[in-house]
Amino acid sequence: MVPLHRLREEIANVERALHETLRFEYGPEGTEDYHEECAGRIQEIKNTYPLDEEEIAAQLDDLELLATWISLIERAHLGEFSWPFAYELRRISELVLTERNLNKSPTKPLIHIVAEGDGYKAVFESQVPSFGGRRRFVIIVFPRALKHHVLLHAIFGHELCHAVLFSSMGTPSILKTNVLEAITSSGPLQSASALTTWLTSSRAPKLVQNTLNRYKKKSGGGYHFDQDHYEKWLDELVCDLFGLLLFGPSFLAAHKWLLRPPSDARLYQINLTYPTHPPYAVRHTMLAQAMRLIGWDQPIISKRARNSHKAETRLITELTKDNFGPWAQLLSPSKLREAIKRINAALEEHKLNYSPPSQKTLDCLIKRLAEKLPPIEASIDTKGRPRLTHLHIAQILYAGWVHWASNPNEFFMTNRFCDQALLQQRAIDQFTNRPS
Amino acid sequence: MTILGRSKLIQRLRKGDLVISPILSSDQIGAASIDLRMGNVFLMVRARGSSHVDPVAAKAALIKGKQHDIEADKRQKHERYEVPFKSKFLLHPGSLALVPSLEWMRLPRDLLGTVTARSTWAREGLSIATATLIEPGYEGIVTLELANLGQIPIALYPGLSIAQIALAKVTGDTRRPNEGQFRRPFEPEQGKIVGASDLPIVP
Repeated sequence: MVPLHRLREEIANVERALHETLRFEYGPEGTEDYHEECAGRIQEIKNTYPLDEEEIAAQLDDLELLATWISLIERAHLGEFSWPFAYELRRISELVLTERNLNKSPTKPLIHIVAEGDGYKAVFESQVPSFGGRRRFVIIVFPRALKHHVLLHAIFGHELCHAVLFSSMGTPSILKTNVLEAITSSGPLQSASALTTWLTSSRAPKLVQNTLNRYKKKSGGGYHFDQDHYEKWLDELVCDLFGLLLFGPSFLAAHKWLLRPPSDARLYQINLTYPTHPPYAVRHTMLAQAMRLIGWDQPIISKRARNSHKAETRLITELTKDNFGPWAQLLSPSKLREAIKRINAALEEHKLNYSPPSQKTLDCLIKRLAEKLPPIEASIDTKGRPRLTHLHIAQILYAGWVHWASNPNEFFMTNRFCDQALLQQRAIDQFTNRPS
Repeated sequence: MTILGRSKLIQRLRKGDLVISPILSSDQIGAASIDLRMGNVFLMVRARGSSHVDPVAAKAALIKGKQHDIEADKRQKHERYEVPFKSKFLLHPGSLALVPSLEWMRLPRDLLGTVTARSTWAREGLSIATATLIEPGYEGIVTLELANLGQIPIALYPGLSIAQIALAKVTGDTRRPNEGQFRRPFEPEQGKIVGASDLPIVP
């Protein structure tokens, strides 16, 4: 078998696979660009004559990866995820993931949205291929089973930040340098060894100590964080904070719903073989502490609007009531405040910071949900002229979570009403010429 | 029958017992009707999936069908498309599409709604199959049964106002023992061809 023949055959195969994707109806907008990028990459491989077998091997690797990207085109079926939410994620991603090339001109990533069987993901193409890569791919993956669960989609704040940390310039560099600098200047997050000291201290909960003892018995030595796992913990914490500042308290609500272990025994669970994530107790403690520092632990609605005030207080209590003790607090208030300030500065550049709804708006949205109506702010005056308000997705989600806190059996219906509201809000924004 | 005029429509909408939301422009409220905009989901019959509509088969499925088959038949009858704003959907001559209204609706117990095509669109061949009656107390989106009776395809865009609803006053108690078959729908659903009360007359 001549390697060059195999390469030519593989190029033709991948080209056919790409062509075949055009049979499928897919969207939303931007997918054509994705298709064009794939076609461009194939073309450039075709145009490059490999000089030796090493280059053939590199081209075959690129083709294999390209085939994976191409297969995702067919998965972008509009009926399988909330596309008004997907539009907003696309908008945010384009803002925070735009890179500047060597000529300083901005290069937007190609955002492709799919629905798959597993969890929430935002996958950033960390390495542009050796041949023909022009724009990086970012794949946003919605869980197929949670099509209408827009309240939970706030967790994308965390996933998007992972993509940001993978890219290299602009917002990513601010997060990597400024924010990490703020949280690693001293304390347990200062270094891998400082984190090891914290983990193995006698203040650690019994469950953690038991895990460490088991590890010691099995491996014959004490546990030490390696640099890679230490950095992964930093990423997770920064991503949690990023999500909170992007989507507000709804992020913490989604975080708790999706990540809080059903059994208390697992609140401090750490997988010491592959410790990529801090225990839930640590992550939650930081987020709840951040809520308090920002002031989001105080209801927006005054006591005068009794029912809405009660409902909002119930949600806030639900979000902040867990107390996992001082050991779970990895960041001092001053460090956390500084990290919040720096992430906010990065978001501010693109006007992406969460802005809470006004008291009047939130009260209106909560009342509408109580009346089984989609939570938007739209009314008419005495002459029949519409009064329409632009609301950000995160504000609608917050109203949804507030409603849920008082109506825990209505989670799915609350999600559906909020999903419907996002759709109607998009129509309102189109009519009022407001980009959403 | 008393049909609500513009001032009464505005009054009831502002009072909040009648909900048709969102109203996006003041001309959406006409002299005695409110325009309805098209939502973003289209259900089209999947021609390859069913040979014909038959109440006998529907009765057989209802009585002794397997749950899987009943549900599969129901789901596979239509092709479902979601169309974002500013995207086109072509309705070909002779085709029927079930489309939700963009507006969420809640009718009080004393009002009955009648949905028809707007005359502008009707002149192009677009029909809202027959006048759709919306019962007092109904809540949800309204399913518009769009048919193209013209000779050429019609391009439809979500958000277009294509239908209108007139509201008439109803006298007497409108509550009934069984709820309507569509409870707070968010998108079009297939109806029941044969209900329990039809069983005796279907062979």
